[in-house]
Amino acid sequence: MNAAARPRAGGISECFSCRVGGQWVAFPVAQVLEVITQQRLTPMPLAPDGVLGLINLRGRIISEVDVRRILGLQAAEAERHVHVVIVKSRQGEDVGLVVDQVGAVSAIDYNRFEKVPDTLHAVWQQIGEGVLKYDTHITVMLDVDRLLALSLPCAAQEPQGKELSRSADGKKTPVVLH
Amino acid sequence: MDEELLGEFLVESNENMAAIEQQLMSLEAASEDTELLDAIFRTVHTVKGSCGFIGLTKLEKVAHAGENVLGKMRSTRYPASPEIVSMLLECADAIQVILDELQANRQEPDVDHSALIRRLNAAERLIGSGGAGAPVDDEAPAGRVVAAAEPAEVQQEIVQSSTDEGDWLDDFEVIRGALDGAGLSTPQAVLQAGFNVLKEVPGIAAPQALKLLGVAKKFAALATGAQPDPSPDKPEGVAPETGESAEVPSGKPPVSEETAAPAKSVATEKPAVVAKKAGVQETPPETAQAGKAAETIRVDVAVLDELMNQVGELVLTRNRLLQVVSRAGGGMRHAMQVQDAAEVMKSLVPLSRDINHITESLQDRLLKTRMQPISTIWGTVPRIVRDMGRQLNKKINVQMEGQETELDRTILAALKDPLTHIIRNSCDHGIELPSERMQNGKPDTGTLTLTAAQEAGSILIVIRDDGAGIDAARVKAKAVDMGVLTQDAADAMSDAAALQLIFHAGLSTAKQVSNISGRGVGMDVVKNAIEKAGGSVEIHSVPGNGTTLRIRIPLTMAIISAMLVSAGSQMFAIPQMSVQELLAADAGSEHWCAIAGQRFFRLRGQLLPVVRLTDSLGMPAVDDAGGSIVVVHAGNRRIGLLVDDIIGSEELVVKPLGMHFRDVPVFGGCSILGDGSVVPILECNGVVQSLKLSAEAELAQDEAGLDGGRVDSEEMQHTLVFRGLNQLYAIPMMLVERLESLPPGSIERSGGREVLQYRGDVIPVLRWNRILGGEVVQTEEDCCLIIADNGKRMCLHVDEVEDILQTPLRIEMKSSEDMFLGTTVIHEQSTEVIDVFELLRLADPEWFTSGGNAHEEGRRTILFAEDAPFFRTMLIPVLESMAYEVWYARDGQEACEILDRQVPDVVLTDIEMPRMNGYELAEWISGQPRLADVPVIAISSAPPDAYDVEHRRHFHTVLSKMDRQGLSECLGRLHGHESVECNPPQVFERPVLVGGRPS
Repeated sequence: MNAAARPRAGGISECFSCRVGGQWVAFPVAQVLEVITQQRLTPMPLAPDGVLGLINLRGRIISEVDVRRILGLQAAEAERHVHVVIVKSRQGEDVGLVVDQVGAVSAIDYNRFEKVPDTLHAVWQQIGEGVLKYDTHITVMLDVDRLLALSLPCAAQEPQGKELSRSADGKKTPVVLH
Repeated sequence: MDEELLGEFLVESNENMAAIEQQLMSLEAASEDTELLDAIFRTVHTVKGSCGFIGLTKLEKVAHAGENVLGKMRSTRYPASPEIVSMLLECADAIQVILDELQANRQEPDVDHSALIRRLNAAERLIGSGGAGAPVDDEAPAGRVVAAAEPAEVQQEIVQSSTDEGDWLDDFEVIRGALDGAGLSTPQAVLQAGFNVLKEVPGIAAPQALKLLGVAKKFAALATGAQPDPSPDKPEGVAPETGESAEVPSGKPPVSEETAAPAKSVATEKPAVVAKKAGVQETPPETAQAGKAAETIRVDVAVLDELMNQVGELVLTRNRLLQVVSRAGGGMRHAMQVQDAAEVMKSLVPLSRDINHITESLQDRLLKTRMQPISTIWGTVPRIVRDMGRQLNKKINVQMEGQETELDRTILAALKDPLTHIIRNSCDHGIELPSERMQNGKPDTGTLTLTAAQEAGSILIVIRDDGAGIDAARVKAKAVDMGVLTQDAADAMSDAAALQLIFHAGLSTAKQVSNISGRGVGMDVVKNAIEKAGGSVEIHSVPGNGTTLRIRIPLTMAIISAMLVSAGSQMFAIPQMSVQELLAADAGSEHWCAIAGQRFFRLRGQLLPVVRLTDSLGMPAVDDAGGSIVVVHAGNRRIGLLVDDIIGSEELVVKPLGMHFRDVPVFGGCSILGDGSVVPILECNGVVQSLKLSAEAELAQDEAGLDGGRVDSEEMQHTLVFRGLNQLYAIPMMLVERLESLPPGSIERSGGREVLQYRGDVIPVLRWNRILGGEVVQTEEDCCLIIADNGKRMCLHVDEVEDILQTPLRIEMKSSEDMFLGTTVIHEQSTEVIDVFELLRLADPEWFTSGGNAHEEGRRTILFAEDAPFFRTMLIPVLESMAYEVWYARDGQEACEILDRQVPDVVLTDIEMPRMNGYELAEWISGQPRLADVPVIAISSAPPDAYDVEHRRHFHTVLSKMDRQGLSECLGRLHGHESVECNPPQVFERPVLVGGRPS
C-alpha cells in the first residue's frame, strides 16, 4: 500500500484532495479512511501545539490535528465549518486531520508531478512529495506520516534545524532553517 | 518451509516445553522417578522427531543430544544428578530460544550450540560407561556422577570438553606435530592407538590425550553422519557460547594428579560453575515467553458460547429498540399524540434496562476471557529459586498457594518483573546460608512462600521468606546516610515505617553488591511498577524471622472506577485507587495557609500541600474561588488537587491515548462518558512527579506518607442514610463497599433464602424491610448496599438511599434491640443507627468464625479499654472472632481495677479516655512487675504527634482504630511468635464520597 502511495514510483494512483487555508493539498487515498464533520472535541491540556484535542469516533479515541497550524498558515476564523479527514499512519494509528474543504478523489498520473518548488516555505519541502499544476491552482501532494511527525512534540525540538519561531499571530510554527 | 506445519509444530512444542522445566526439577527431587523421566524423554523426542520432518537442523541437533542423554539415563536407570539436570535445563533453554526465534522470524537463530551439544554427548558417554550392563552402585552417593567405572577420566572428559576451545587450539599445532611424529595422523589411527599409547607420545599430556580421543571419536562418528561436528579444525565453527569461558575451572591441576585425587573433588567443583551459567542464561527465555503470551490467548469454549449468547441478546434488544424508534418516527410525521409519546416512553424504559443488563454481563464475561491464572507467571519461580540457590549455595524451598487465582493478563505482564525481582531479593538477602540458619536454630533449608488470593475486588499477593529479616535500624542509618531522612526524623520514625523506606529510590541495605540484587536500584522500581499497574505494596519484617511483602492489585485495568471532577470548565477522571478522600475547601476557609509560596491545607493537624489541577496541567489560570480538594496518594506522597467541582464516581473503560500524548506523563489514558464525550484519565504518579514541590513540602510529605499517620477523626463518621418503611436508618460507611442498582430478577432464591451473584461469588441477601417485619416494595431497580468484611460480602436490599454524609455519629439514646446501636439525629430527624455486625451475623451466623482467624490453642484473654461505645461495638466482634475472651473497661481507671484482679494475655487500649488515658495506663502497667509480660497495644484515632512519639514507648504497637485487619494480623503474630512489630496502620483503602464539609 505504502509503496503504491509514493508518487515517485510513477504510474497512476488515486489521491484525495482538500483545501487547507487557501492551499489545495492531496493525500494518497490508501491512507484516508473516511471524512467526517467536526465532532464534539475535547481539548487536552499539555497537548503538543497543533493538536486540537480528542474526539470519540464510534468508540475509538482519535487525536485531531490542525493542518493549518502545522503548515504555518493563518489560524482559521472562529466559526469555520471544518472537515476532519481520518487517516491511518504507517504505525497503524488513526489520526484526524482538520481541513477547510474537501475535494474529490481523482486518479493522478505521477508523471505529471513536479518537484516542490524551493521557493515555497520550508515546511512544504519537508512534507511535500510533489506539486500538480492545474489551470486555476496547484495541488501539493503530502506525505501523511511526515505531516504527523511535525505534529509530535519532539519534532519541534529536533536539533537538525527545526526550531520554533513565532509567526505573526503569535502561534508557534515549526520552521526549517537551512 | 511449510508455514502451516511450522505453526502447528510451534504450538505443540511450546506447550510441551512449557512443562519440561518443571518436570526436570521434579526429576531432580525424585531422581529415580522413571515415569517422569519417560515423560521428559517423550517430549524431547517429539520435538526432535518433528524437527527432522520440517528440516530444522539446528534444533534437531540440540534436541537430539538432549534425547540421547535422557535415553541413556532411561536405559541404564541412571539417577538424575543436579549436574545432569542443570545441563538438561540448559538444553531445554536452548530449544526454547530456537523455538522463540522460529516464532518471531520463521527461521532458526544463528546461535552456536556446539559447546552444549559436546557436553551433552560427553555426559551421555559418561552415563553409558558408568551404568552400562549394571545397575548403579548402591554405595555411591545418589545423584553423583562418581559411580562410573573410570570415574576420574570420564569426569575429566566432561570438564575438558567444556573448556574454552581457545586454550586447546593454542597448543593444537604442537600436538599435531607430536602426533605426526608418532605416526598417528588420522583419527582412526588415534582411536586405534588408545589412551595408554597416546599419553606416552612426547608432547602430549594425559588430558590432551583424552581430548584427542574424544575428538577422534567424533570424527569417526561424523564420517558415518550420525554425529554433529565439533571439529577443532574449524575454529569459527566452534566459537564458544556466551558465558562458556565461565565454565573453566580455574587453577585446575594437571590430570595426572587429578586421577590420583578423589574424583569427588571434580564433582564438587562443578555445581557452582554450572549453576552460575544457568543464572546468567536465564533472562532471554523469560522475555521471550512474555512476548509469546502477548500473541494469543486460550479461551474456554463455554465462555465464548456465553459471550455469543449475550451478543445474540444484544442484537435482539437492538432490534426492539429500532422498532420503537421507527414507530415513534412514524408518529412524528402525524404530530405525535401525547399518549403515543407516553407509550414510547413506556416501551423505552424496559429496553434501556435490558441493554444495561446485557452490557454489564457482556463486560463481565469479556473480562473473564482476559483473565489468566497467576501460575502463568509463577511457573518460572521454582527455576529461578533453584538456580539462585545453587549459585548462592543456599537451600531454598518454594511453596506456592493460590496458583489458580486469576488476574487480567495486562496486569500479569506488568507484575512479572517486580515479582522476579522480589524473589531474587528474598533468595539473595533474605534467606541465610545453611550454616548460618543452623546456628540460629532454624532448619537449614529456607522457605519462600508465595500466596495469592482474591480479596474484595482486588488480588492480594503475599511473598514471605523465613530468612534473616530486615534490620530497621540499618535502613534508618542508611537513609540518614543517603540524605533521604534527617537524624531527628529517623529517630522519631517507627520501625514499621522505616521499613517502607526500602522502597525509596537509591536505598539498598545489601552489605555486598552481588550480581543478583543489591545494586541500590530495585525496590523503588518494584514499587513503581506495581503502582503503575494500579496496585500497592508494603513490607514488614521481623529481624531473624523473615520478611513479608504484600502486594495488592486490582483484578483488571481495562475498567477502572474513577472519580470525575471538573477543573477549568473541563472534566477529568482520577482513578479511585489513588483517591484517598474528598474535602470541601472554600477560598475563605481558615484551613488554608502558605509556606514558601506553596499552598497548604490544614487537615486534622497536618499540612497537606495543595495544587490547583488546572495549574499542574498548564491550563489558563482561573480566579481563586474555592472548590473541592481531592486528596490523592501516589508515589509515596500525598497531595491535594484543587478542582472546581466533584461530579461523582463512575466505572470507566480505559482507552489508550495516541502518539501525541505518549510523552505526557500526567495522563494514563482516556475514556468515553455516557454522553459520548471524551474524558482524560489522570495518572496521579505523573501528576505528582510533574510538580515541583518545595523542600519543606517534600519533607512534610514523606513523613505523612511514610508514617501512615492518617486516621479519620473519631468524631466524624462517613454515614449512609437510607429509607425503609418510611423511616430513616443510618449505617456507617466503613464496611459498605459499593452501592448497586440491580435490575429486577438479579436477586435469586436458593435453598430457601435469597442470594445474589456478585463478582463471581454468591452472596447472601437481606431485605431491610423484611428484617423490620414489613413488606418489600417492588421497584424498577433494586437498590442494594454491598457490605464487605472479613473477606466476605453480603447484600442489603433497601428501598432508597437518602444521602451519604459526614456526621458526628453521636448516639443520643441507646437501643435495647440488638440490631441497632441507638438513635442519632441526622438532618434534624431522628435516625436509627444500625449495628453492622449484627447484620452480618444475621446474614451468616458463621460470619466471624469461619474467617480462618480462630485460634486453635484455646481462648486467650484481652483487656479492651475504650470509652466510645461505637468503637467498642465495632472491635469486640473482631476480637471475639479471633477467639479472645474480651474484658472491657470504659477508661484507664476501670482497666487498672480489672488488672488488679486478673492478668490478661494482651491489653488493647484507646489513647484518649476520661479519668486515665492510654499513656497513663501503659505507664502504670509497665510499673507492675506482674504485668511485665503483657503487651500493650494502643489504638488511636488521632494522628501521632510529638507527644505521641515521646510517650508511645510503653506501647508495644500503635494501630489505627479503623485498621481492623491490621489489628487481627498484629494479634495473630503476637501469639504466633514473640515480640513482633506490626505493620503501619493501613487506612482508607476505600475512598468515600463526602457530602459534608470538614469542620
